[in-house]
Amino acid sequence: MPDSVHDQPTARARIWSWMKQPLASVGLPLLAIVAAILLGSIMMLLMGHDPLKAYAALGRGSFGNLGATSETLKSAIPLLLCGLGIAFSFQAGAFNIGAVGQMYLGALAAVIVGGQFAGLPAPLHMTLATLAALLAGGLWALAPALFKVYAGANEIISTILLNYVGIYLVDYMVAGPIKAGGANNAPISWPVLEDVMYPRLIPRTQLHIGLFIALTAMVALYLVMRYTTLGQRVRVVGQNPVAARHAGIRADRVFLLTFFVSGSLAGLAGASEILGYQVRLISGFATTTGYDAIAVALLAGFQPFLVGLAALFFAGLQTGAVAMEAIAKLPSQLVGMIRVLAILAVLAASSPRILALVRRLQGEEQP
Amino acid sequence: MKPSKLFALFMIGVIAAVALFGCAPAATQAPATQAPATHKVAMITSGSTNDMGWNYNALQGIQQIKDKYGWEIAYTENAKPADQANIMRQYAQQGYDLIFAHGFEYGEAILAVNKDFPNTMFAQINATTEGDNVVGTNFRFGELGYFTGMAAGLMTKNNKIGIVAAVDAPQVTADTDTMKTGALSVNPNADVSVSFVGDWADLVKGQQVTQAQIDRGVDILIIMGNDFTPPAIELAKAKGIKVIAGWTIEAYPLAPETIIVSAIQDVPGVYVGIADQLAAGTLKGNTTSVFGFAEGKQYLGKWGDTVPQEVKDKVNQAVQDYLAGKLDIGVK
Repeated sequence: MPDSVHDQPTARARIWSWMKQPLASVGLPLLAIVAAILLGSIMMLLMGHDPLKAYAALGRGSFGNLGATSETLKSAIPLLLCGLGIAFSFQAGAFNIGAVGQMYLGALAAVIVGGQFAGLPAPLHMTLATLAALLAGGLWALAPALFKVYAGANEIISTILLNYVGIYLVDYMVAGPIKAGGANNAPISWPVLEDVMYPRLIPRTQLHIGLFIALTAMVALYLVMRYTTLGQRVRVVGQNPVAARHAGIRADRVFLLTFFVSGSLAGLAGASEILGYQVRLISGFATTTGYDAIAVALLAGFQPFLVGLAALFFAGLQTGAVAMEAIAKLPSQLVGMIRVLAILAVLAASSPRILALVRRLQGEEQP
Repeated sequence: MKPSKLFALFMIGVIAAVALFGCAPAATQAPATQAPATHKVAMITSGSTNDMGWNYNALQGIQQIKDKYGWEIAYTENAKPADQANIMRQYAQQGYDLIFAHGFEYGEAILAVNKDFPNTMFAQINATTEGDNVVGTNFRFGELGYFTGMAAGLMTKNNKIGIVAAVDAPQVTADTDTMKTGALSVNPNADVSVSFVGDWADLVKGQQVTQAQIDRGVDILIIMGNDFTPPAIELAKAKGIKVIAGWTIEAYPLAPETIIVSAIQDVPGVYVGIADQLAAGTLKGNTTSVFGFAEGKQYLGKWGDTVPQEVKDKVNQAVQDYLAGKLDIGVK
């Protein structure tokens, strides 16, 4: 092949190189989404359901009107908070899989503080309940971090195990010490006092000011990562702990700190669920949120603003799934499959990123 | 273009597309009001409706309503706490005017939506509720205990009766208390002892507690649980001990020779009972409907193959007397 082709690009090649990126950025994801919709439609047709009706319900239930959109935003709050914490800790190479347990502890603290101490001024009481949740989540996360730093225990295993401890602790508490009195005698906690509940943003919806807490956390995390030495240290420790040590960074401290912050954000998520709209703590109040948030953080490549978008996407699928079942009458199993297909499509469209991240993460594991 | 920007653009595109797609068909939304002659019934449950137990009962409930009245039904299973209110709102917006919430865990979610839909009735199963368009349901606890206790008292040879109960909660102890009075009413020498498993489903603890009762030397066991009941019946069968079971199941097919009788709480029947009230125009908010023998929602199941006729007659006569108001069993 003559060299001139490479040395002197033709007009067509120039146009192609100019077109290539927008095409890749719009065309590729579009292809993935169309493929997911087609696959989902085939599954629905095979099971005797109307795909048009189902996808219309998905759209209407997620972002179709003000009510649906606020419901989606409400569902995005805990995903965003947990996802931010996970993104932060993963960037430091601290694999916190314990958002579930930390969220449970946060919710527990919020309902204990929020349900007692009647007579405190409402704003103070609200703040105290929120801070208690933040602290509970952070301390619950600190335990596995200390195990890792002082005993070398693998934090992935210990955080997963502590999730179960947190879940069972809540099960025990709602069945005994913080159980509501009254006629029903069910394993359900006492309610948070009415004036401790977060104010609503839009009447007749459950959207609450937890949204602002989550957005503030998102901006704060972005600023910390981008402009502070702490953010710089977190990145260096995550990319190469040995080099970090040589540079005089105390990796252990950074590890403990990121774990605490990560747990605090999950604790906040727990608080915003209870103080935002659930009022009482029940067994199994959020079994999957903390795990979904890992996918949210990974999908976003740990970038705070992208975590926000990914949380919105996951939340939209969640509320859309509700509508697919309630409006289009799809069975819940099929709805689950459609939901996962959509996530897979987005994952596929952004897969080079994910692969690069995985490669980077794996690189850190090597000595 | 940086990959992160690419991703951001892409996500914004997806969400915008979904929003556009979602807005378009909104005009075809069903009208919120329905002709009064018919009703639309929805149900929400936290578990899977193919569990052959508590959640399956809920599905049976709305299906029996459909069979009886031909009303349109819809349901959502595996509902997460975060989605409870949203699900009920979706149904109410579509004109479902009777929405069943299958369990105690829906109290707050109902209160979050009921005021926005004054023409929709929310029915919470196994709960006492408040609200102008909210009703609760309960069983008349204690009835089944009395008559099963009677049967146990009549059937025992060594006067030792053991009760394996799920949890130490009022709706359970109401029945275990009347088991004692029922047994003593026909057999003053009956020695009835209760032990609790602490759970409705724990198979291992269910076996342990059952074994402990067997070790006491009982010849009649009353097993009042959910998942642990079938294996406990197996254990008793191996030791030649007669069993009274039921509550969520008809136990006769499990062991026709071992079972004395089943005590049945008809959860689907409660659903039909609420629908009956709606059809008759008598369903009023701020009430808790209690269902028992008189309503046909609690009853004794099939008698075992080895039960003498005089025992059946005696217990059945007592049930008749109770229904006729001639027998006080100490249940309100």
